[in-house]
Amino acid sequence: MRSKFFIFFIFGFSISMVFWWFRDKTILGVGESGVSFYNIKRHLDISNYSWADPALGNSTGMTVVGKPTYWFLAKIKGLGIPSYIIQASFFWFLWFIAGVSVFLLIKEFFPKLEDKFTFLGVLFYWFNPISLVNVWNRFLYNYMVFWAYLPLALLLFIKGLKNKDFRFAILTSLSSVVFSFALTSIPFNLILWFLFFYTTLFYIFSKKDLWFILRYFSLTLISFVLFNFWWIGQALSYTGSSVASKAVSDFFTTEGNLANLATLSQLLGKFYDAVRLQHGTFFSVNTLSWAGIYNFPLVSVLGFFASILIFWSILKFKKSWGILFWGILFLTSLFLVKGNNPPFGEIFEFFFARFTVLQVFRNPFEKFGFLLSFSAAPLFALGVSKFSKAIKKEKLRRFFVGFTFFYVFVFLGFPFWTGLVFTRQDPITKKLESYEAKVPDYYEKVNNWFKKQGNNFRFVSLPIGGEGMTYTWEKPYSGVELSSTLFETPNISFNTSIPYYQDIVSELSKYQLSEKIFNFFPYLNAKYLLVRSDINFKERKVANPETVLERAKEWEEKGFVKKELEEGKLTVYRVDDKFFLPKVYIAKNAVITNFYDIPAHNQLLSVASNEKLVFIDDKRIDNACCIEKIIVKPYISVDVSNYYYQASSLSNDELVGRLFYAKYLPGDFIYPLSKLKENLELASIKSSTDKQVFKLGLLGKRLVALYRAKTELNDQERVRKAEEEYLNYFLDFRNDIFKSLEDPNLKATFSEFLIYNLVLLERLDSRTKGELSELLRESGNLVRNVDPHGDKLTLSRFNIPRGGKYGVLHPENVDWFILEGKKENSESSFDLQKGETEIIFGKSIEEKSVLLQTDSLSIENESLPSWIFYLPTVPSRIKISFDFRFDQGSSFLLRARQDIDREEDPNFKESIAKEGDFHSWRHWEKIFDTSAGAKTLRVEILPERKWVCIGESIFRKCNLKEGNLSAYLRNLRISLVLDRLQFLVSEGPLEKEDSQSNISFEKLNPTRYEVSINKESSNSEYLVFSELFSSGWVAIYENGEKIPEEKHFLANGYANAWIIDKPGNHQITIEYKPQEILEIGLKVSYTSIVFGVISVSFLTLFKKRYEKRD
Amino acid sequence: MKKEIKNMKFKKFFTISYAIFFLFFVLFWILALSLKLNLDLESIYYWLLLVGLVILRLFYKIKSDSFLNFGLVLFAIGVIFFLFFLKNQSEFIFRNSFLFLFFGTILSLLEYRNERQQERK
Repeated sequence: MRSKFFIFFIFGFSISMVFWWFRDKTILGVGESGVSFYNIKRHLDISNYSWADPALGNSTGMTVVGKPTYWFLAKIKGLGIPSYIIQASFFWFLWFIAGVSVFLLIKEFFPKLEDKFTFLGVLFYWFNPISLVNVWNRFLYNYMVFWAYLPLALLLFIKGLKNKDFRFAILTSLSSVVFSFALTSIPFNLILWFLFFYTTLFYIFSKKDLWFILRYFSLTLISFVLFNFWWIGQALSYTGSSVASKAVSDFFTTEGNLANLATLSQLLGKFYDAVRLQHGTFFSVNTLSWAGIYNFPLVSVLGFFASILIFWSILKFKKSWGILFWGILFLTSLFLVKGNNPPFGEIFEFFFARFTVLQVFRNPFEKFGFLLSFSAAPLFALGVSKFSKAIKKEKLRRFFVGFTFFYVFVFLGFPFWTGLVFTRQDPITKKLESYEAKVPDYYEKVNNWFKKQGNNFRFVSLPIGGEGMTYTWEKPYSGVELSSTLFETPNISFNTSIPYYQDIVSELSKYQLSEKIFNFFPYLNAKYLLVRSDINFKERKVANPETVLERAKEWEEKGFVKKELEEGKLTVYRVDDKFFLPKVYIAKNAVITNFYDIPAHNQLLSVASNEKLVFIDDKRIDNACCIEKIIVKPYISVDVSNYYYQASSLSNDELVGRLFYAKYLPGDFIYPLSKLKENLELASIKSSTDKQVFKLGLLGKRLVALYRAKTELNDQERVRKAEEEYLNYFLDFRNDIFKSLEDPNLKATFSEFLIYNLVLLERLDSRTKGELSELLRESGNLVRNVDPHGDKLTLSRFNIPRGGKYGVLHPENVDWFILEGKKENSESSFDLQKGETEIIFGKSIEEKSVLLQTDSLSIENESLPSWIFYLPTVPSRIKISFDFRFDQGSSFLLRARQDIDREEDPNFKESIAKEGDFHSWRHWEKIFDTSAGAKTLRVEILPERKWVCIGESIFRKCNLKEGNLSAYLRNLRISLVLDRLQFLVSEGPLEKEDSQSNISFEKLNPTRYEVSINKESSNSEYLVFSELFSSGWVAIYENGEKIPEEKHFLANGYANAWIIDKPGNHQITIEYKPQEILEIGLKVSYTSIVFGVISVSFLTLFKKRYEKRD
Repeated sequence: MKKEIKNMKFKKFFTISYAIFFLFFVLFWILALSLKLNLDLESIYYWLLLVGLVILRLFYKIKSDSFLNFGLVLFAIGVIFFLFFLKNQSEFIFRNSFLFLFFGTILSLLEYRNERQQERK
C-alpha cells in the first residue's frame, strides 16, 4: 500500500516539476539537440530513409534509430497538440519511468528496505550531480532517454533471471525498441550490454543454474538484435561505406583519441570529483552562478557524504548479495570513469588503443557516469537506512534521516525544481539565460514559401559559419545551427566535419562577401540566397548581416540576384538562372583537379558558371573520360629560403646557443649516466609530439658534444667517439624525422633545428652532413643551389596525374621558376612526366599591397595610435612589422580587431615587451590571417594592464592598472601578404560547347531518382548527381545493368558522377543501396516484434492457466 | 612439519624482500620527485601495492574486512585533506583508498561464494 503511495508521489511530483518548467508555454532547446520539438515531422522525414537531404545530403546511419520515437511524437503532433505540451509530456514520461524503475529495482534487490528509503534512492537518482550536468543541463535527448531506460532495462532483465522466466528476456528487448532513441549513441549500446553481461556473470559466479542463465542471456541478445535489426543493419552498412571510411581517415586517429582521452581523464577523472559524482569543470571553471554554490569549501565536502555512506554499507553488509552486486558495479564504474588516470589506467588505455570501437569512450566521465550514478542510488538508499538504524538515539536518528532527505531534495535537488538546470550563462555578460527558445513566425512563412517554389534545389544561407549559431529571437537560442530543422528545403547554412561537405563549404565560406560565391551555386544545385539578420554575428564570428545585405544590394544591381521575399529578419534572393544547374545534369567536359576552389578554376578556364563542366578527382584520372584540363595544386609548398640563409649568417656560438647544451662529452666518466638520465626522461614523456621534440633536442645535444670535442679537445679518439654518437643517433632517429617533417605540428620546429644542425655540421666538416642534407632536400626543406638574394623562394611539390605540357596558373605572381635545375621565365610552358615534380618559384620581395607605412611614431599613454583598414572580400594574410624601443614602461599590446570580433576576443593580440635591460631598437614582425566575412580591421596599440599591489599582508590591495608607456616605433609597415601558392595547369584550349544530350529526372524519395536521357553523341559523357558522394549510390540502366564502380567518380568536390557511354534514349535509376538493407531490417524488426509480443502473451496465458490448475 | 617450516621461511623471505623492494622504490620515487625528475613512477607504485595486497591475502589470509576498513579510513583521511585544499594529496590518498576498497570488495565476493558453497555442502 505504501509502495503505491510512493509511486503515486513519483507520478505527481514529476508532473508538477514539468508543469513548472513549461509554465511559459515555450519549448526548450539548446546545444546539440537544437529545437527538435519545433518541427517533429521534419525529424521523422530525416530518420525515415537511409539517406536524408540536410547539408549536401548524407547517410542517416544511426539516425534511423530515432524513427519510432519521431513517428510516435509526429502522430501526437498530428492531433494538433502544441509542441511544448509534447515536449513536457516527453520529459514527464522519462522522469516517471526513471523514478518508478529505480523504486522497483531497489525493492527487487532489498525487499525489506523501508519505502521511504527506497524513495530516497529514487530522489538520489533523479537529482544527483551526474543527472544534473551530464543529462539535463547537457540537454541531449538520447542521454535523457538512456538515463530513464537504464534502470528499467536492468529491472526487466534481472526479474527474469531471478524468477527464471524467459518472458522477461523478450520484454527487455521489447523495451529497447520503445526506448530505442537512447541507442542512437554507440557508447550507450555498449554500456547497456556491459550491464547485462556484468549481471549475467555475477549470477553465474554466485548462483546455480548456469544452463538457464546462459540461455536467458542468449535469448535477450538474439531478440535484441532481431527487434532492433532496422538500425543495426544501417549501422553496419554505414560502417562499411566510403563516407564512413573517409570520415574516419579525415577526422579520427587513434593518436588523436588517445590525446583526448588523456586530457579528459586529467580534467574529469579525478577521484575527488568522481566519488562526489561531480563533473570536474562544470562547478569550478566559468561556472553558472547557481552552480558555484556547490564549490564553496564546506559545501563541496558535503559531496562526499553519499560515497562515505556507500563505502560504509559495503563494509558492513558485504555478506549481502545485493550489496556486492551494486558495490562491485559502483567501484568498476569509478575505475572506468577516471579513464587512463592511475591506478591501473594502463588497462583502460590498452583496450582503448587496440579496439577502435572503444574509442567512443574518449570522454569516460560523460559516458560511464551513467553507470556510476545508477549504481550509487541503491547503495545510498541502503546506506542511509542501515546507518540510521545504527544510531541508537531516536532524536539523532530522526535528525540524520531528515538531513539526508534535505541533502538530496534541497541541496542536490534545487536546480531541478527551480528550473535552473535549464539555464546557461552568457560567457561575456555572465547573464543567466533560459533554454526556452521561441522560433519567430516568419520562419514558418519562409519555409512555406520555399516549399511552393518546388523541389530539387537548394539555397545557401549567409552569413555562414561553423556548426553553431546564436539567434537573437525574443526568446533567444544558442546551439547547433538550425536551418535543417527550420526549413524543409535542403540548404547549406553551416559547416561541419562531414567528409567532402566540409571541404567544399570551407571554400564557399571564404567567398561569402564576394560575388565569386556565385561560381559555387551551379555545382551546389543552389537557386536561392537567404540572408538572415537575426543572429548574433559577433558571438559566432561570422559576417555581419548588414554587410551581407549591402553586398546583396550590389549583386542585385549587377543582376546576379533578385530579391524575392522579405519576411521578418529573413530576406530571400533568387540567383540568376545562369548560376543554376539542376540536381542531375550531363557534362561532356571534365576538369581533373585535386582542389575545389571553384572561383579560381572558373577564372582560369574563363567559363561562365552555367556552362556544364564537371570537376573530377585527379586520383581517378585513369578511369576518367572527356578530359579537357588538368589543374594541380602542390601537396607541399614551403618557404625554403629563410632558415638556411638565416642559419648561415649566425656565428658558431650563436648556433650552439640554439641547441641543447652538452655538459659531458663522450669519453667522460659520467657520460653513460647522463645518457641514462636522458633515456629515463624520454621514457617518462607521454605525448608522442613532445617525445619527438625531445629527441630532436637530444640530436642537437650530440652535435654540441661533437662541436665541443672538436674545438676544445685535442683527443682524436674522443672526437671520433662524438662523431659516432651523433651519426648513430641520427640514423636511429631518421625515420621519425621524416614523419615529423610531414607533421604540420612539428614541421616548422624540425626544419628550423635540423638546418641549424646542418650548418654547424658543414662548418665542422662532419661526415654526417651529407646524410642530413639529403634528408632535408628530400623532404623539401632545403634549397641551396639558388641564391635567394632579394627574392622569396617557394618550393612546391606536385603530383602530376598525367604527363604532358603544363604552365603556371598565375604567372603574374611569379618572376621565375626552376625546374630540373633550369631557371625559366614564368610564362614558359614545360613538359612534365606523370608522378612527383619539384619546382622552385621565385618572386621579388617587394610587397605591393602595403596598407600602411610610416617611418617613425611615438607612443604615449595619451596618444595611442590606431588605424582602420578595409579588408579584401576574401580572407587574407596580414603582415605587421616594425622596430621598437622603450623609453618608459616595459611592454605594450598590439591588437588587431575585425568588425566581426568581440571586444575581448580580437583576431590577433600580442604583447611586445622589453628584453631585460636592453634599451636599444628591436625588430618585431608577425603574420596572421583574417576571418571569412570580416569587412574591416582595426589595428591598435594599447598599454598593457598589470596588477599593481600596495600595502602588505592583509592590508595588501591589488588593482588592474595601465602602466606608464613611452615608446618609439620606426619602419612600421602593415601589408597584405600575397598568396604565393602556385598551381599548374595543362595546356590546350577548353572546348566550351555544352553537351547536346537531353535529360529529365524525377525524385521518388530521398534514396531513389528516375533519370531519362536522350544522348545524341556516341562519345562518353558524365551524368552528374549533386548529392554527397557515397559508394552506396548506384546508377542502373533500364535493363538492370549497373554502371560499374570504376565509372563512378567524386565530382565537383562532393557529388557523384557516372560515365554514360551508351548513345540513345535511356532510363537510369539512381538509388542509394543501403535503403534496401533498411527495408529488409524493418521487415525483420516488425515480424520479430510481433512474434515477440505474441510469445510473451502466449507464455503469460499459459502460465496463468498452469497456476490456476495447480 | 618440515615442509610447513620451509613454507613459512619462504613466505617470510618473500615478504621481507618485497617490503625492502617496495620501500626502496618509494624512497626512489620520493627522491625523483624532490629532484624534479620527470619520471612517472606512480602507476608502477600501484602495481607494486597490488602485489603487496595479494601477498597479504595469500600468505597471511587477511580477510576482506581489513582491506575495506583500511580503505574507508584512507577515504576519510582523503576527505580531510580535501577539506584543507590539499587536492593533489587527497587525490593520491583516494587512489590508494580505491585500491583497498576494490580489492576488499572482490575478496568479499570470493568469501561470499565460498561460504555459499560450504553451506550447500
